[in-house]
Amino acid sequence: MLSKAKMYRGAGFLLAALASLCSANASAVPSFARQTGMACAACHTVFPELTAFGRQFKLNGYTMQSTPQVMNGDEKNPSVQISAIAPLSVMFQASYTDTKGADKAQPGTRANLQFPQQFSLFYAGEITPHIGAFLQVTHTDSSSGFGMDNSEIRYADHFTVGDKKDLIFGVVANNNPGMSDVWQATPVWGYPFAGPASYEKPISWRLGQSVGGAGVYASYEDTIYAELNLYKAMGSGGQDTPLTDPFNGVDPATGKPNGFVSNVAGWAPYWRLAYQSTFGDNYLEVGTFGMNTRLYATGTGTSGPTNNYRDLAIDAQFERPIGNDSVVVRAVYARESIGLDAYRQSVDPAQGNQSFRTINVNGSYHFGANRSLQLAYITTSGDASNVAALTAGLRSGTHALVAEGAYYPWENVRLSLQYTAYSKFGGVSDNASDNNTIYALAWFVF
Amino acid sequence: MTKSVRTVLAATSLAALLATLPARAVEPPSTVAPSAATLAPELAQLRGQIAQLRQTLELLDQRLQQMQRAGPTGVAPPLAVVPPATSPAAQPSLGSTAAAAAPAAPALDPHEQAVLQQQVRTADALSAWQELHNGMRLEEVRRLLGEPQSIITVGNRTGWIYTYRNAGKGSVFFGADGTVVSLMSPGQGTLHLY
Repeated sequence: MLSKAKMYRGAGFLLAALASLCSANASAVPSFARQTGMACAACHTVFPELTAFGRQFKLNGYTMQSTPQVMNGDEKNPSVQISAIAPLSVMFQASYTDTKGADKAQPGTRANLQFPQQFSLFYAGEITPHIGAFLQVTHTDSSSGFGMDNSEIRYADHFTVGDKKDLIFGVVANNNPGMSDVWQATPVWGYPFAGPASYEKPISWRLGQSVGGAGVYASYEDTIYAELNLYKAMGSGGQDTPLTDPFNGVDPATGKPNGFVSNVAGWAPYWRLAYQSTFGDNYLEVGTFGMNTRLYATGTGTSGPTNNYRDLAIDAQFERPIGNDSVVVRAVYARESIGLDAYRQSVDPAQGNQSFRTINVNGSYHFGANRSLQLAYITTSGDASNVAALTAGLRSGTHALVAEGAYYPWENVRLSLQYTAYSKFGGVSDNASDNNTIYALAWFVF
Repeated sequence: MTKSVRTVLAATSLAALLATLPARAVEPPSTVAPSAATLAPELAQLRGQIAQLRQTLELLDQRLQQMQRAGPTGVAPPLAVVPPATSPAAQPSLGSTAAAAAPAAPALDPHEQAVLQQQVRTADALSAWQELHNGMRLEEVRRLLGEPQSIITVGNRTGWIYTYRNAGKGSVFFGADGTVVSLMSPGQGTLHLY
């Protein structure tokens, strides 16, 4: 039988492996620069971090255009207008990870070289006036082919309301709640931008590519932003990519839930509200977002009782230039309330509802345009009864500190070295440092 | 791109033009001898084409001489940031120059002249973009590209935006210290060098 420590480490490595599958965020795509004629620095402080201009470009549906167009029909009102050059891009990541205590759990697993860690192809740019797309397919070191990654299509247009006030109104459809967001305190585009840092996340942060949805958004006077989307499990008669619900399924040996896969039930609403302002040289965004998700209690079920996850988060992002340099600070706090109706029906009628919290505070200091330093503190925690009910390693608390240095020899190449130190991992403080990782990444976009 | 490379490019363009002359002027032999009346329209057409090509040669030759006169100082002739459409009447009279060289040739109409001049200017400007690099100072960029059409500020960076007919937008971003930190040259468009 495995020792308790090994079990914890094993669970940790499993989480790390799962995290690595979706650890790379890609919001910097060179086809945008080709399409617009705007230098990378217009949209990115350094990639993948967005500037105010980059946020506006996204809100406007990726439609700013300066390249030759193929048109049909009347020039003022063409029946079709598409770019003469398809906005295609490539992303390639190669990485080396060294996990301090990996050999203790499984000899020979300490070093992990991935070439590629991730290889992505993009169609990213204007489809036709007012409609643009960010479509990504990805091959990872652990996948045999290409699969759909974060993707969205959006429509946007400007309207004048009230006393000549500007309103951007948009419609967006995508496969990851929060992908439409333009700030990077939020999870889809948040920090760490890439890496093996592993920590427990609310269910709505883990729905990428499992659900599809659509909604509307509006930006009023570049100050107030609001968005409302509805998501549903993709697939017919069961979800194409089921989720792991920690409260689903019961280990016969322990009588505790062991995290079987689950399907999202019905429609899950996602909402977002944010306020942004510039004062002096400073920029500040404060916002809130959340999602209600119900998961069926059986792995393949598409009906019956559900466990209900209500996620609520607040976030903030601060930016300030300092001479040639700049500093960005981001923070998000999320609380997940878990209604265990299905669990009570099928496992333990006495089980009360649970909650789960996570905080991610991180910042970047950019030395000019080609060097950056990032620091992050990430902590998660759950109710005490939550810890008792769950298999070790799931939803029971992690404290991590991430430090990273990045160098950009060219604007589209990011070479980074990241160190993640854990003082608590998967609810356990003993030997938590066995999960400490050194992570070297070469990231190319072209 | 250095001036000598620009000169080579222009000379290459001239050589390509010269190569097209015999190809356009000589028709393949026909098995049936056409009558003079049949040939007359084609002959007139060919003469017109030759006259147009001569005009193009004149123009390119002028540009070549202009670039050679610029010498090694690095000061480029005025470049083409051009949406303010130039009135054909304000342009140098290509027609009169060409008429002196080939009195029988029909002159290009003002629109054709403007288009031709525009394309040459755009080609010249695109060459200048090749000389840009990160770290270059604002004054150097201005000397190469001229004044930008529009300027935007993003955080502590200032972006100069240039728009070219047939070649789209290009942009240069400066850091707070006034040196180039990022640039995107135009050139996605179709560039016609006759």
